[in-house]
Amino acid sequence: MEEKQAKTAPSKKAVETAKEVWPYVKREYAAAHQAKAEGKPVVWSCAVFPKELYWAMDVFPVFPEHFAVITGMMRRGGTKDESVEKEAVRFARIAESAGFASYLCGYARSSIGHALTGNLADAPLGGLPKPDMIITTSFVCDLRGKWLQYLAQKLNVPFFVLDIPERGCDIPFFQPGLRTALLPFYNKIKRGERDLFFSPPADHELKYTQRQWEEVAKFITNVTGHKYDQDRFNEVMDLSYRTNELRLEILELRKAVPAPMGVADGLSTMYPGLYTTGTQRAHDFYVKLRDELKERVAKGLGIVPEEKFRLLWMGLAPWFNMSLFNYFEKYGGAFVFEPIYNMCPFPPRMPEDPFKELSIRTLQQSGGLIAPSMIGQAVSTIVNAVHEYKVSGAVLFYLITCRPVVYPTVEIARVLQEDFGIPSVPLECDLIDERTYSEAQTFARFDAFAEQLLKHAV
Amino acid sequence: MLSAGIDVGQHAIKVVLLEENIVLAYQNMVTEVDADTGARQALENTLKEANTSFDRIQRIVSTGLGRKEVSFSHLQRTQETCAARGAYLVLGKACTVLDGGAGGCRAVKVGHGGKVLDFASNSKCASGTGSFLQIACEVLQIDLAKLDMLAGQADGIAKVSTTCAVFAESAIISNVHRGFSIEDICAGICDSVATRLLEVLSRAGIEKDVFFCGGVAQSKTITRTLERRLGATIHVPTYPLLTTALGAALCIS
Amino acid sequence: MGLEFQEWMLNRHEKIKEWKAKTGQKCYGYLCCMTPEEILYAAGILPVKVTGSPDKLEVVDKHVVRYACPYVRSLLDLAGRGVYEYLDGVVVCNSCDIMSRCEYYWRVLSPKAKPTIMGAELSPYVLYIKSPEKISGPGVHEYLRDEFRIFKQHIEREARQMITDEMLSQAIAVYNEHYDWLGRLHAFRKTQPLKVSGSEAFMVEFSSLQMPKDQHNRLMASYMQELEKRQPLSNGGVRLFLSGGAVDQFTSQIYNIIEECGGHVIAEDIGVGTSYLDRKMDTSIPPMDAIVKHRLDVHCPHTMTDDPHPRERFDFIKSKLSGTEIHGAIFFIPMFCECRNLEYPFLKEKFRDELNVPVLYLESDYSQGSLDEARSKVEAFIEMLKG
Repeated sequence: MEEKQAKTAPSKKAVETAKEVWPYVKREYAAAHQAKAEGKPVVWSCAVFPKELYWAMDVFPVFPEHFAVITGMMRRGGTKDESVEKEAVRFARIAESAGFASYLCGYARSSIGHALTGNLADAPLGGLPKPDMIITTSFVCDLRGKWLQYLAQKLNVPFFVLDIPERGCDIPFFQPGLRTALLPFYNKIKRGERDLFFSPPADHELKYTQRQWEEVAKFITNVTGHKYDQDRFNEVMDLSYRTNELRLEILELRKAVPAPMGVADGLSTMYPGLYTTGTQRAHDFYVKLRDELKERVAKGLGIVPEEKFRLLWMGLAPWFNMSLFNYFEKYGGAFVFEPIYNMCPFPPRMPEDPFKELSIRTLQQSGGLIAPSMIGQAVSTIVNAVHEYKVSGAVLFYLITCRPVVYPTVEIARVLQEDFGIPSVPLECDLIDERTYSEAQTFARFDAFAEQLLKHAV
Repeated sequence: MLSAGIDVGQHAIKVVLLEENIVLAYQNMVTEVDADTGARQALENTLKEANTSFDRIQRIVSTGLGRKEVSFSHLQRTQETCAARGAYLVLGKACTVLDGGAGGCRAVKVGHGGKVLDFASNSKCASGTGSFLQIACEVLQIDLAKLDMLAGQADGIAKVSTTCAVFAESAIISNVHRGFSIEDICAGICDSVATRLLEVLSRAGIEKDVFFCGGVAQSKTITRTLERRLGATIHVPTYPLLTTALGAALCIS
Repeated sequence: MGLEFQEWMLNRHEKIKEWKAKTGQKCYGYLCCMTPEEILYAAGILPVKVTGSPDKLEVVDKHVVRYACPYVRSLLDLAGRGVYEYLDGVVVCNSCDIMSRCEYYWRVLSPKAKPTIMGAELSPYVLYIKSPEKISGPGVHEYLRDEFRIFKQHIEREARQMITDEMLSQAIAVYNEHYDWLGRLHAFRKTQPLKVSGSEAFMVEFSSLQMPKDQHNRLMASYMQELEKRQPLSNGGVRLFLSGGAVDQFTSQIYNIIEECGGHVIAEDIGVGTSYLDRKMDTSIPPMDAIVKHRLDVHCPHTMTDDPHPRERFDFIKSKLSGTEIHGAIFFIPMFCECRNLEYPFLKEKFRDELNVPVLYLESDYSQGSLDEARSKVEAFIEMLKG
């Protein structure tokens, strides 16, 4: 029986380099399978865990989190037949039958369901190679530790969690009331020095974190026999640092009007930096992207012929329907920036003690520089981004199953409107489980929002 | 021994009069009075049909949402227990009962003798229940029998992909505006209900035999969809609305 | 004295205000058992557990999204309406994703005014302890000790006195007596025939989280004597284990519902009282280390180890049930409680395979409606257990 349903589709790319991401992704998954076939150790890890140590210790990292994104986009066997549900939905059903609630993170349900099938290969891109170990972290959300621990239990492999306790909002910059006053100062500081606004990690936090990083290296050695080598680690950290500098340059280029690159491309081009940091291929990708954006800025090329209003996207993406990032283009609206996972300055290189450097970086990230988890940081990140990228409205992803993203949304909407007169509109659904998506509701809200912004722009 | 099972549901009261495992008479009475009065009336109608009297009844067991309001029952038992007993009597073997009513749907894993082994339900949300079908009927301005008939004639399914009944209403309207045929829209609604029923079923654990009862079981389209998806035969009793009342009549303290 | 326990549970705000007026001392609210209450007690500050209420929400929606733990939303709403205005401070730990964010939410919702300079509080009203998620592993003891040390410094500023090791040891002695009494109550509940209901035991435990521990200890001494003399409650009751979250003076109705359906909760894992703090502190080591060690022995759904088989949670639950039998287990899990829901399938399997008991899953949205809905499921479950 033929099925007709709400249309979900990938986004239209404006930037040429963004079109290289999908082949890049496929190569990574192929390389992971290849590594496994050659007997190289494979680790399952998570997005916010710094990757450099894996490359330095010759362990191939694979990310169930990213794989869940793939399952949200693809159907079984790679078919385009829309009557076949997306793999994320198939896997989520399996997890839910086992007793996992539907309010749990979509990534977790897809990933757990996939593992529960007992056949890791029966999934897009050949599935995931079975891991030799699983390493995760506790910060950003509770789930990424516990879900990966559950997978380690099911797959019966060694497990390690890098515990980074969530930092609070005790930094004056994030205190309610102080935010607005400091805004002009924040915008004058060069991007590379913005870490000065965050309180430095306390000694005991640094000590605890560094102890654990050293344990990660020992753990990898115990499981694989591969030894830690500081010179090799420094090589990888150098490359990662230089790649991050490129990404910071790209963030500056994206401030141009018209925006040379939008969110559709931004969320796609974040992949090499987020998942393959510390590799030459990631570095080279951003050189290309940076060069293309320089050219686009020089030529005044934008996402839409004429920018009538500029939008910010808050949160992760509805991966099953990335075409939403092109939705406002028919009104002349462009999604110009997405703060999520966008790099901020790394601490200066410390080749004599790279674990200390990595610990400082991890704690800064925990403080909100990569995926702001605490409310104060999350609100301030959006407020700063709105001003930097000259945005007149924001779409806030009320990710109903992603707690760290959804928790600050109400505060963000309130602060943007009350303090700065910037309107926002919510999109309520899951990251990858399209059963939660209401096209009718979404389009109605977006259309009304566009009308509001156009009226304001006149 | 003469026993009576009274199932006080959201919209109707069902009564079964049972003697030595034989049904003497039954009632399915839609009522708007309070549960106690309604139960009394329904029982009286049943007794009249069976040509017998109240004082002959040795045991009255009430079940359903309003079971505690039946002042004259000797025992109250939950729908899970009663659906299990009723299904076991009809089918004669271990099974999973799927009971789709107006107020909720439940799945009960039934062992030998009608013993409940496990159960799952979805009563908070309207999805997968008779209430959801009723909302759909109101939106389309047709009755349930017509919805089922039209769904059976569809050659496509206008999917109602969202899990929330509130959103589903706007999704159905959206499907109408997009110009899908009424048959395909009805098929989409039945498909959505079947999906939710399957989710509840899988949480209880699916036995080889599935026994489908309750108001929702009157839909042939939903039954066929379940069969197709499970790859198994679904047993639907002749009187799907009466299984729980029958089970109640079988309960002993 | 049952009435006194009940008073502190049901009229806790009035009782605490009375206590403050009588003693002239301060009172700090806390959200989670990781809080080092002993430090507060040593400083003469009454620690009270903050909980929610069945009141309709009035202010929290302006700041906190609906896709969040309904229990925390409720307690934040109380904060926003000034119901907790008598608190002199609030302690938030890194207990879970939503609770750790209460550090921000409480500040933005609570109308409590404190002196500030450029928005930064001189003497923080809300103190945040970045407690670790891991309870074992290198460096974790030292880390938590440093976090508690910083917390102690804040309390010393607030209380205007240094907290010496001797003062801490005295506080530990009081708390150890408290854990001892609750341990005895817990053991008593496991004996047969059952002489004290789960709902009554909950009231006794919950009241200890609102009142001064030394006062509760005195009540416990006579209470335990009285319990020994009681007649058995009922014969052949269905014996159950309760695992859940957001169980407080409002949602403890679940105990009453279970009892009304013919069951009894004889032990639980619900984040109240002896659920996780069920042993005494080690007095052979320095007091700060004793408190740290005690808290790192908390095996709650949030805590983690590197063990891929999180046995320690199930082993912990099994230890609570040692020496007794149960017929079933009920999981009463609040919506959006990811830590509890994620471990549920694992624990369900273990209950089935190792203890041979079935499990009932109830989802709570911290409302009277969900409690009422739970009733028919509990009834069906108990009917199933009775056969």
